[in-house]
Amino acid sequence: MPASTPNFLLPYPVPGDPADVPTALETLAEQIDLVLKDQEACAVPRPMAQFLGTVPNIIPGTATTGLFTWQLTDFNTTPSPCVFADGPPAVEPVVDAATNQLRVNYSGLWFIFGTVQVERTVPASNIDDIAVEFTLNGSTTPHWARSSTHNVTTGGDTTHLLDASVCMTLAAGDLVGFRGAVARSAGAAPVTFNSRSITLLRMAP
Amino acid sequence: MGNTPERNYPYPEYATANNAPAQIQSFATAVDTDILSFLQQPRQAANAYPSARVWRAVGNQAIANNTSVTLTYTAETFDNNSFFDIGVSTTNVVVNTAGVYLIGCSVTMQADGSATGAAALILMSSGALVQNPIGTSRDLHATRDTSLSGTTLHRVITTPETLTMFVRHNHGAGLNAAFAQMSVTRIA
Repeated sequence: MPASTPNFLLPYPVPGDPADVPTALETLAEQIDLVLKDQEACAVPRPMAQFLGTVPNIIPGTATTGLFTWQLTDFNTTPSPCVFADGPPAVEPVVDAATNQLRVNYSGLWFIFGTVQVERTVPASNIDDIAVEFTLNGSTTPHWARSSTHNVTTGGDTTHLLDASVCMTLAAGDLVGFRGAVARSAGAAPVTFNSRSITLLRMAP
Repeated sequence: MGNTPERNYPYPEYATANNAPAQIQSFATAVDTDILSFLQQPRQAANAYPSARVWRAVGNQAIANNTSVTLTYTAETFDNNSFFDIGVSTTNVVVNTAGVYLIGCSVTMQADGSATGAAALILMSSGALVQNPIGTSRDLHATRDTSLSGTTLHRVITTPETLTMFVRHNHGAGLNAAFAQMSVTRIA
């Protein structure tokens, strides 16, 4: 009876087996072929996704915060079946242009990066501060990561870029959001957020 | 016996004594070990790369004027490679495995009623080609907190390598740093 290797069960003859080298080599080659095919199928990217927001998001003068919405999917991997048995995509697909929270389908540590362009405001709008921050299941508590600017009236700049990144420990089904926050000293001027992206990478169990 | 040039798989040559079972076993074993070491194990490891997140969960840290102050952390929310030991240091994130790391960091400076000056957040490394791989700065505001953040890729060549963040400002008087966090995860 042929024996086999410990990890991938590659067959080889043992003394006492019929002296049939062609058959032994064919059996071995076929098993190597199968093992490498399986390995190739497993060699796919980690759970990761990126979504883009293309529709301007406006925080009205009556509000101080607003979750960004996502309209386009840049990528959303289906993870390796060898690690996650026939699971769904990394993040629940975005099918509604009003989607403002992203449901991750795998637990673990996720690195999340968000960036957004903010339209310049005029001095008379009395905007003191514009910030971006992450939310988990709709809440910014506990704090995850935040970035802000007070220089939102610079005449030469039509947009300001804000970004933030953080590692979040998430459970499958958790909802991740990225939102704008506005602080005004007076008045009720709206603030417009334009092109934006959010990238989610699962890094560890 | 000969060996293939790239993977070092053994094979019998014409002058090799005829022993097909042993020769086929040697070849099969070499392939088996190779697939495990260079395909399966690295792929599995890539789904659990060294990562950590440390943060200031409570309290403030005083930041003197015109002084580079290293930020302290009060807790970690994730750590799978002994990055942070609060019993040893409240400031150091120690990378123990070489590689390329994705790093995100942020801090919020509390307003104190005066808008004078600006603040900067700098990520510092104890080694590597660039010891301050990322920094960012913002003008301060009289009544609104100022949140600074940065994201970068950073290669760690020699371990252990210590990562820290420091804050510096020219407000004219001391300020407080409130929430701060550093996220570190290996990607290659």
